[in-house]
Amino acid sequence: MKRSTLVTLALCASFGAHALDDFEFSTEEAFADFDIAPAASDSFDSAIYTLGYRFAGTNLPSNEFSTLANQAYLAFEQARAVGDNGYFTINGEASLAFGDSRQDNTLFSANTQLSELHYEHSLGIVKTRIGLQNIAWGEVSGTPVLDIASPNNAANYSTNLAASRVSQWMLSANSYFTEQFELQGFINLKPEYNALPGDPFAQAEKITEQEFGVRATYRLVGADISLYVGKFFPNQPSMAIVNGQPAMLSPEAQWLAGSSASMALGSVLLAADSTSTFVEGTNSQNDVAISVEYATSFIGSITAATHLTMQDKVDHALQSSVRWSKSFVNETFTLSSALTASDTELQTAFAGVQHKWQDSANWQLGVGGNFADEVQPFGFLVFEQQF
Amino acid sequence: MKKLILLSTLLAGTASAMTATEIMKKVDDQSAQTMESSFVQMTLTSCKFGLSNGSVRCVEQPRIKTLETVGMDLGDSTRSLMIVRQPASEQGIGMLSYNYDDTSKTDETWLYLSALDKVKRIATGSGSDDEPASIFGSEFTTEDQETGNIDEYNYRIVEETNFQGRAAWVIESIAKPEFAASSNYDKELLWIDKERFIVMKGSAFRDDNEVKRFQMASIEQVDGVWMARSITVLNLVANRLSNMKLDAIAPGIDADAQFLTQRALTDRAFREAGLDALRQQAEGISQ
Repeated sequence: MKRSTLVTLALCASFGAHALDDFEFSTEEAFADFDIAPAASDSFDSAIYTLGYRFAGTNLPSNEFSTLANQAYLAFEQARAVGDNGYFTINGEASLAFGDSRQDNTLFSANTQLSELHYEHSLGIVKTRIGLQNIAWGEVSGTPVLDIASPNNAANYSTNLAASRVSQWMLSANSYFTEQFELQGFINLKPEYNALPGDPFAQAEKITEQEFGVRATYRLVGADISLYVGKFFPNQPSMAIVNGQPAMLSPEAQWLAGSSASMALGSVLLAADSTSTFVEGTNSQNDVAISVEYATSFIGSITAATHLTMQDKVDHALQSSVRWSKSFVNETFTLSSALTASDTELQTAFAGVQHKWQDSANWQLGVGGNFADEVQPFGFLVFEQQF
Repeated sequence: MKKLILLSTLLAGTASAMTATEIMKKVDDQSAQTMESSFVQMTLTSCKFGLSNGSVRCVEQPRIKTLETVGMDLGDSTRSLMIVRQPASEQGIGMLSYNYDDTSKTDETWLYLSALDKVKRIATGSGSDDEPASIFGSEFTTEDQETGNIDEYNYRIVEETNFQGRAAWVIESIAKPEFAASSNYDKELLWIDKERFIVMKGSAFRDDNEVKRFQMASIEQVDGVWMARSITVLNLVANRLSNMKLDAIAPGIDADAQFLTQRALTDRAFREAGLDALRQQAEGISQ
């Protein structure tokens, strides 16, 4: 027998309830002053424009300041249904860079960059997508190093690395066999490496080898489980684990097998990823990452994540992060912090804050440092307004 | 869908000499009729509120989203899919929920992150210290969508009164001890319309403090079924409110349970085609 009233509604906290006098609330009266019912759109035909500015700088070991990014940009995004079975998405930006101390004799430079440009078609149980797109396999929040397929993009600086990707030209397909079982595969004819911090304009070295993978996902009641295998260019960790330099497994694609799982237990979300990268010879690498996310309406969301990398059973790297986010009616505050270490030595530290207003405007501020050799502080600032 | 349950219902009934449990069962039975399958277009408005001349008013520009939702009762569970249509920056974000009648199964909710084309499971909370997740940043939560079991609660008629010009029961609802851990409230009071068997108002308490208040408005009869087309929740701890305004309701649609799966989140062409078919179907029956 179901129970059908207002019974299972949540509340924020058990203290400090506001004393509301015994009056009768009138919805119509409360909203009389506002036009609260804009017409719903029947199609995704609204374009989104974002005007932004980003700055990033660092102090080099030689004690010389360097501007890594000084850009004004206009981003454009549009997505809409095409015909009965199609869907088109475009997302990109045009930017004007200035004052980049690494580009001698250049006051201004214009750049354009596409983040997404793809068409997807749904037929029967299969969805295919072709074009510049993101694929993120992995469940762990906070340390998305194991989110393979679309490599991380730390070049432009962001307090949310998980959402920053180097989009890839790929052909992908999803087969929805049952409600519980789904198979996804992709092939990337022109893969790129992930972008490391401090290289806003770095063009990744072109790779001629192909990248491909298959993932099977099964959804149980209470948990999602995925297994995947393929030939990948794994994300090069942003931390240095080999002689103080960012680890480079190999310039060639490597066979990789991985698994991921997520499970909700009350207000706690547990997620785990693991990958094994098989490299010819002895240079194999194993990665394990776990995250715990606890969310309540009173304290917001706290996510703690740890990612351990092991190479040749000799070199170890640890990346840990803590992220706290609290949403109010119109705004969201997010605090992020991350530490990376190689063996027992601190490599990088980062702390950042983001404030979003109605998801249409945000600013981000981050500071951190590389500690691999000499202390090398860095910082960045981003303003964005959507319209 | 709890929201749709909240829309409930009635067909006439004899109100004399009913027990509190019988009243709640009738409210539930009537609402279940509207829940079998439905398509709703709604506006979700949230703001910080204040009191002015005895009225509740937004004290800041409200945040407004328009949504489309599809709900189905599969017998042993209910499913709902919510897709954001506006604002443009959130278009396509979706939430899928499975709520099981079997209390040994944990209800499930997934959120679609369009930027990464990724589905993320959400912890919705089910224990005594847990809290459910907010629906798209509003004061409504995922738990609002859930249907509890009448058998898990004790009911008592507190008083018979006149509420907003209508004869009403005030019914107290308290979870039975063995189910108390799954309730976020110590007690709730529900104002039930004696004639229409629909909830007109609700108050939720913890530690003897009223922490949330629910108000139904624009109660209309649609195809013989009474529905509240405006539901407002006031979070009295945070002084925030959310209003759910049902712009169009199409009960009794012919929907396929296969549509209410994760494919509807990740396969956007599939989702748009499915929603478009529901919109066309709803045009003929929506109110």
